[in-house]
Amino acid sequence: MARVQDHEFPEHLLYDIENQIWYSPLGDGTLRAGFTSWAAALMGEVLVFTPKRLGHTFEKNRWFAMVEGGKWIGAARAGFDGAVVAHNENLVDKPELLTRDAFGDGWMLIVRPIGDDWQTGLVTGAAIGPTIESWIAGGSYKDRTA
Amino acid sequence: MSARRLLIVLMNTDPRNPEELGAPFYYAAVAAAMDHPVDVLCTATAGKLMLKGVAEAINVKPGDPMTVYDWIKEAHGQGAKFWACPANLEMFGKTEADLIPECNGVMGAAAMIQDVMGDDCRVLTF
Repeated sequence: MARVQDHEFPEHLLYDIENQIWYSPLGDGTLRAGFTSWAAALMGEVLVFTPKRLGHTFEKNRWFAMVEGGKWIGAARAGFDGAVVAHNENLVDKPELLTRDAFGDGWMLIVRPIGDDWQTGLVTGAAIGPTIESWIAGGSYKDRTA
Repeated sequence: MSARRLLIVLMNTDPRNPEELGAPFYYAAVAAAMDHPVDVLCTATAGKLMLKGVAEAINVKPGDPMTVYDWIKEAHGQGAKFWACPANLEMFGKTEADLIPECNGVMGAAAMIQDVMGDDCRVLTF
């Protein structure tokens, strides 16, 4: 388990660092996806969670879910091309789960990647901690949260 | 992904009624975050919102420091483009130099009608 700024990042997951999305392979070619707890903490109160419709496709770095607070809006952007297979209906009903349990009950979608190279650019294992620390130090996320 | 454009026209929104001013910019921000090209045209009385200092002085909610200008900046940051109406500017005795930096410039009526009648454009009016 990597620990960065008081947030734990399970090392068995795959991370799209730039978009702060984690992916967990489910063994049938699909992946569970959610925001990291670090990103969720930046959001504050989440009032609405809106996933892209079932069966719809998405492209790398394009939105596949939206989260809305009272004073801000944020897009969850994909780390690869794919399609939406399932939603977390519980999160639709209780968006606060995203900030309360980002790696657990606050998961957002189950997606199916299109193409075999979907893991390109994702980070996993022992590399997670240093990569995220370096990314945070770079400060590029501030462009999205300003 | 659909590249369908969204044109938001503020024509009936009156800056003197702050509670009317959050929704248009909120929708613009959401649509832009969803990767749709978004243009926001402010005309008639709402055209004043594109003038420096106007939106900055309006709080959407009493007691909340967030101003209408903050929402314009949020939508702009998400990728929405803002436009003023040239006839509207003339009516108020203003020029493009009086526009907020988030405003791209002026969109004439013909350009707006052309967009509205195009197949790839959807329109929301406020």
